[in-house]
Amino acid sequence: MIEVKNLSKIYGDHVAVNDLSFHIEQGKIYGFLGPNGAGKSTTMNMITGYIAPTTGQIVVNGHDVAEEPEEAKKCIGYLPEFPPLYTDMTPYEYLKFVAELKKIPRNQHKKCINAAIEQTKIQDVSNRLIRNLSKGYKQRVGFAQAILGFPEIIILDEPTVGLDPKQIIEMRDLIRSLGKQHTVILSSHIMQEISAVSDEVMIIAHGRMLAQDTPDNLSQHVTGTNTLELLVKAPDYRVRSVLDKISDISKYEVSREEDNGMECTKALLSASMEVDIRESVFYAFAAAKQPIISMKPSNISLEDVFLKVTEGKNTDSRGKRQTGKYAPIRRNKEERD
Amino acid sequence: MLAIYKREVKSYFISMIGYAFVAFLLLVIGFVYSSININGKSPFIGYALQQAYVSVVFMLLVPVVTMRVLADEHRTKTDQLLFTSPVSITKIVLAKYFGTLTLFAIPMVWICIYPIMLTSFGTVPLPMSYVSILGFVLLGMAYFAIGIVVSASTENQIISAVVTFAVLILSFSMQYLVDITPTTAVFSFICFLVLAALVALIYYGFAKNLIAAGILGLVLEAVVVILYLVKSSLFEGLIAKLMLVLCLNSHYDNFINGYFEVDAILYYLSVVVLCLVIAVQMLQKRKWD
Repeated sequence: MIEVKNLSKIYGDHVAVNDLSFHIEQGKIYGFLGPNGAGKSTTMNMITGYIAPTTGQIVVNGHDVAEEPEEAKKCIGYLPEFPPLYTDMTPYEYLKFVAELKKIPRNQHKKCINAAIEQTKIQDVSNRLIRNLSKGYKQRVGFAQAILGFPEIIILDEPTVGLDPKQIIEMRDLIRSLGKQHTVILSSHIMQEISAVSDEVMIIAHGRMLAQDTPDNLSQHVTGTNTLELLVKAPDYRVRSVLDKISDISKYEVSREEDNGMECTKALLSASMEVDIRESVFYAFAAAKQPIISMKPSNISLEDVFLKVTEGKNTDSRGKRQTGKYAPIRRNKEERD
Repeated sequence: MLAIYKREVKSYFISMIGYAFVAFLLLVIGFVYSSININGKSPFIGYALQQAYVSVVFMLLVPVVTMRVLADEHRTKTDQLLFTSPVSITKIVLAKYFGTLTLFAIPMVWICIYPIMLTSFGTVPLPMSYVSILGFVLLGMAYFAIGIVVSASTENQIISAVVTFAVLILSFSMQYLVDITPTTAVFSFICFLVLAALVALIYYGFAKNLIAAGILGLVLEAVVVILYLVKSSLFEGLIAKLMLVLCLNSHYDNFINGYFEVDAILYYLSVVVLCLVIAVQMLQKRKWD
C-alpha cells in the first residue's frame, strides 16, 4: 500500500527525518508515536506530497509520489496538523469545494458530502461560517475533508487535538470504523490515543524509527520477560521461601504491603517469555498454605515503552533538544494553541 | 482547477476586495472619461486611458487584489489542502491567475460601452477605441501576473502588496528615468558590471551555493568586460534600451493610441508566461526547502 524507503529530510543543518523505512499494509490502523519535533508531521507531509524528501522514495499504491504525484494524491485523504480550512466558507461549501478539488464525480458529490458530515457529526453547523466555529468543530470539519469520498488511505496528523473527552471517544470509534475498510495512519504524542485504536505502533524520535510492532508486543519486547504481580497474605520471609523453590522464576522482588488491614506481601516475579509460571506459583503457595489474595500480569504500559525506547536511543542522534531524560508527554500542542 | 478558480472568484465577492477593485477602477476611468471625452469633446477613449493618473491608480489596485492570492494560502496553511490534492501546481497558479483576470474583466467589459455611448454625439473611431481598450487589458494582464509572482514569494500580505506596487511603479517610472540616464558607453558598462554582480548575488540567495554563485558572477563580469573591450560602441545607450524593455507602460503607447501592434502583444504575453512560470517554480521550490 505505502512503501517508504530510506526517507530523509534535512532542513539546513537540522535533520528532521533520518533514513526512515517502513511498509504499510492495507486495512490496518497505524499509529505514529513520538515526542513533539520527532518528525511525524514531516513524514506525513512527505507521504502526501506536500513537501519533497531530501533523499528516499515513497510509493503509494504503486505510484511514486515524486513521479506520479496526482495519481498518488488521489488515493490519500489528509488531515494536517492545522486543519486547512477556508474560514470564509461554510462547512458545506467547503466540503463541496474539496469534493471538486479531489475530482470526485459530480453525481456523487451530495452523497459523499452528506456521508462525511454525518460521520463527523457536523450537521448542526454545516451552514455556519467556519470562522465562527469552535476549535473542536473546526477540527471535525478538517476531519470530514480528509474522509471525503472515502479514499483508500486516510492520514490524520493529531486528529484529536482540541476535542473534548466525549468527542475524543467518538473520534476513536470513527477511526476504528474507518480502519475496517481503509488504511489509516494517525499520529500523536499521547500514548493512550495510539494504543486505543492502532493495530500497529511506530515509535519515532529524532526522525528515526525506534520500534514498530503491535501495542501488546511492544510492551513485551521492551522487558523481554514475562512479569507477574502477586499479593500474598503472609510475612515476607515465608513468601521468599516459597518463591525460592519455584525454578522457573528468574528474578523476584518482595515488599510489605497492607491490604484492608491485613499484613500482606507484594511480590513482583519475572520469568522468561516462553513459560507461564502462574500455575506453578498457585500450587506452590497452596501447598505452603499461604493464600494468594491477588495475582495479575504486570503489563508495561505503552507509555513506559515509549519512554524507555526514546530514552535509550537519544544519545546517538543529533537533534538539539534532548536533555538527558525525555519529558515529552506534556501536551505542548494545546498549550501553544 | 475549475474548483480553485471558482473559489477564487467567489472569495473576491465574499470580502470587500472585489467590489472595491471594480468600483475604484470604474470611478477613476469614469472620471477621466467624463472630463476628457465628454466635457473635453474628444471622441477617442485612448486619451482617457493613457492618463498617468489612471495608470497609477491601477497600479495601486492590482496589489490589493493579488496580495492575498497565494500569500494568504501559505499563511493560513490552506495551501496544504491544495498541494496535497490531485491538482498540479501549474494548474493551481493558472486557476488563481484566471481568477484575478475574471475580476479584472468586469470593469473592462463595462468600459467597452463607453465608446458606443459617444457615438450619439458624432463620429467615433470605434476600432481604434477598442484597440486601445485591448492595450489596457494587456497591460493589466501583465500587472496581475507580476502580482501573482510576488504573492507566491511571501506569506505576508502587506509585503506582497508593497513589493508588487514597488515593482509596478519602478517599471512605470522607467520611461521618465530614461530621459535623465546618460547614454555613454562607460555608464552602461559600469551598470552592467553592477547588474552581473547582482545576478550572482540573487543566485546565491536562492541556491546558497557560494562557489557556483562566485563562478557565475565571474563569468558574467568577464563577458561584460570582454564585450566592452572588443566593441565598446555596443554599450552606447544600452542601459536606456534595457530600461525601456522593463517598462511595461512604454510598450502600449502605440496600442493605446489605437494602433494594433503584434510586438506588444507578444511582449505582454511573454511577461505573463514568464511571471507564471517563475511563480510555479517558487512554489515548487518551497517543497524542497
